[in-house]
Parts: sequence; structure tokens; C-alpha cells
Amino acid sequence: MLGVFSDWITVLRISLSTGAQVRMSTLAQLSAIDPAWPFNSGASARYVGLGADLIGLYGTSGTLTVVYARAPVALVDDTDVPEIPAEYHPLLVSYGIYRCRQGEGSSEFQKALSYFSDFLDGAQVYATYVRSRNRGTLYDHVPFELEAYDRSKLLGARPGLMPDRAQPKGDGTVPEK
Amino acid sequence: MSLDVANSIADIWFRLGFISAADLDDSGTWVTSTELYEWADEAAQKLAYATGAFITLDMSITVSSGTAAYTLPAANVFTLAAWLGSNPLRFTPVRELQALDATWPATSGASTRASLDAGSVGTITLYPNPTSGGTLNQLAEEYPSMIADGSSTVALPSVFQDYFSYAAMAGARLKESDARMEDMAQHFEERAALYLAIADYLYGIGA
Repeated sequence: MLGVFSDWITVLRISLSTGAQVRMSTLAQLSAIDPAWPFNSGASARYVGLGADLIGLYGTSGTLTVVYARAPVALVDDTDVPEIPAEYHPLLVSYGIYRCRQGEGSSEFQKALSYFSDFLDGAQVYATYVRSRNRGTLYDHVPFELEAYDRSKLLGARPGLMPDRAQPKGDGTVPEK
Repeated sequence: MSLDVANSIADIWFRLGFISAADLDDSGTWVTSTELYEWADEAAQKLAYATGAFITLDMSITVSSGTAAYTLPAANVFTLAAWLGSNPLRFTPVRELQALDATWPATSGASTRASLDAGSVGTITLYPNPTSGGTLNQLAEEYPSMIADGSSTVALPSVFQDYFSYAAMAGARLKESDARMEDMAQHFEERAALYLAIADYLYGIGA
């Protein structure tokens, strides 16, 4: 698929030019329907995603419309605008700071991990929105669930150190005794 | 368009403390671009084992009449399905072949089954012993070609570019040298592991 769609990530929906949906299946399902499924020359009725670069079709005739998740357009020039909503643009700066400080190591890098955490928080929020949208649209795939991934090792390289942007707790007053 | 690991190498020299790409290629540096490519290649192999990212339709084996066993391609990790020409082959363990036909190695006919444990490791054995040849079509997970300077493209979406960047940086920061940083290497490995988890989610589990 990468040879056809250079910005390909994964398939979301396939349909025929008539509008009929080509249903997502597993390899086991296709083999159960027809063990010689790759050689069926009828109208495409089902597909199976195979790895990062391959789609298997049961039925090889017809023009297909493919909806797919794609990579964002690369940011190259100063005037390029990210494709994500503007409210998330500051998080790209946070990620940039984290990335620039990767060469420093140790406690200096630890200070940059809070920026990375902010970026992941934002990515998680936006992914939740896209996931809901994909489910509502009945797409065949939804984004990776970042909230289900254990981030503790990603963000805790040196757990004993204070992040540089830690905020003091409380209102700063001492309670009367 | 496949991603190019050369872009990862060009992207990480500053994060390894070099002042330019040329600085990385100077003689006597603590890490070389060749080593970075090697770590990226190891990462590609790990991805091939841990996920189903590199499934391909392999048509490299030509079956001959009277020959049942064939060596699988060196890059083969596992085979998902196979057809002799357009005839499906049902995967069958050797113990089931034995139960099916006590003299199975001597039985000839149109092949209907394939076994991955009837011969030595890395071979596929057809049953019955084929009486007609053809192409052995396999849906198989295979390693990508070895990643090195000048042959560094990998059939993955460009969003996985940083998987190779972090794998190479993890290898570099774990190398015994004055620039060794175990805590950074751990973080880079965790970043690569996040990409592995995403590939697993998108493309299925591996071997």
C-alpha cells in the first residue's frame, strides 16, 4: 500500500465504486469462506489487513475507494502550519523542547520529561476525540489507546529528582494552630 | 513510500552530542554511523519478530514434481498461509501426517497439506509428494532486507521513523564508552517500545 499511498498508515474503510462496503475480515475467516480466496476473481467482497504494507482482497475485480489513516504532512518551512487543531500547537513546542534536550542526559534531561508528559496528555485527549469519531463513522480501525499504555517507565528515568516545573502545593499560608 | 533509516541517522547526531553529521563520521569517534545502522537493523528484526508488520506474499519457491521438502527463504520468520499455485495447502504437524498416513513420506499425488516440522528447521514439506510443479505462494512474515548505509529503506509508514532513531540512540548510549548514558538508553528503549506497542496494535502480533 505504501507504493500506492505514500502517506499510508492503516486502512479505515474500503468500498466499491458502487458504494458497497468491502468488509474487513481476518485471515481465518477468509480461509473458512474460501481456502483459495486470493485467486477469486469476482467483485471484491472482503479484505484483510496484512502487516504495514499489504491488503488481501477476496475478489479482485472492481474499482476500490480506500479511506485510510495517513501520516501528517511534514513541517519543513517556517510558514508551514500543523494539521492538528490550533489548541494543540503549543504541545508541539513542548515536544520540541524535550527532543532538543535529549543530548544532555541525567538530571538535565529529567527536567524536560514534564514537557514530554504534557505532549502525551494532549495526544491522548485528541486521540480520544478521533477514536470516538472513527467509531461514530463505523471505520474499521480506531487510534492506539495511549491511556492504556504504561507510561511510568517513559517518564520516570530518575524518579528521585524534582521536575523543573513542579508547582508548590497549597496557597502558601500557614494554618493557625 | 517506505521510510529511510538514513533520515533517522541524519536526525540523531546532535542528540548524541556531535556538532555535525561530518563530526559523526570523523575517525576515532565513540560511535560510528555503521554501528547506528546495525542497531537500526536489529530493531527491524525485533519488529519482525514482535509484530506482524512485515507480512509479504512470497513467491520465491518453485515446487518440482517428486520433491516434497523445500528450504524457506532466509528471511522467513513465520508462514501464515500457503498455496501451491492456486491450490490451498493445509498446515499439518508431522504427528498428524503420521496419524493420517503411516507411509506419508512415500505417498505421491496433488499436494493438499504442508508441514513446518516434518523436515529440519527452516524447511516446508508438502504432502502428498507433489506430482506436478508450480509456484509455492506463501503469506509470510519476513525480515526486511539488511539495513546499512546505502540500503536503508524499510517498508513501513513514515510515522515509524523515530522507532529506528530511538533504537539506534539506545544502542549508542549503551555502548561502552565515555559517552555511555544508561538512563538515557533506558528512556530511548522505552520510546522504541512504545512504537512496538503501536505496531503490534496496528498490524497484529508476531511470532
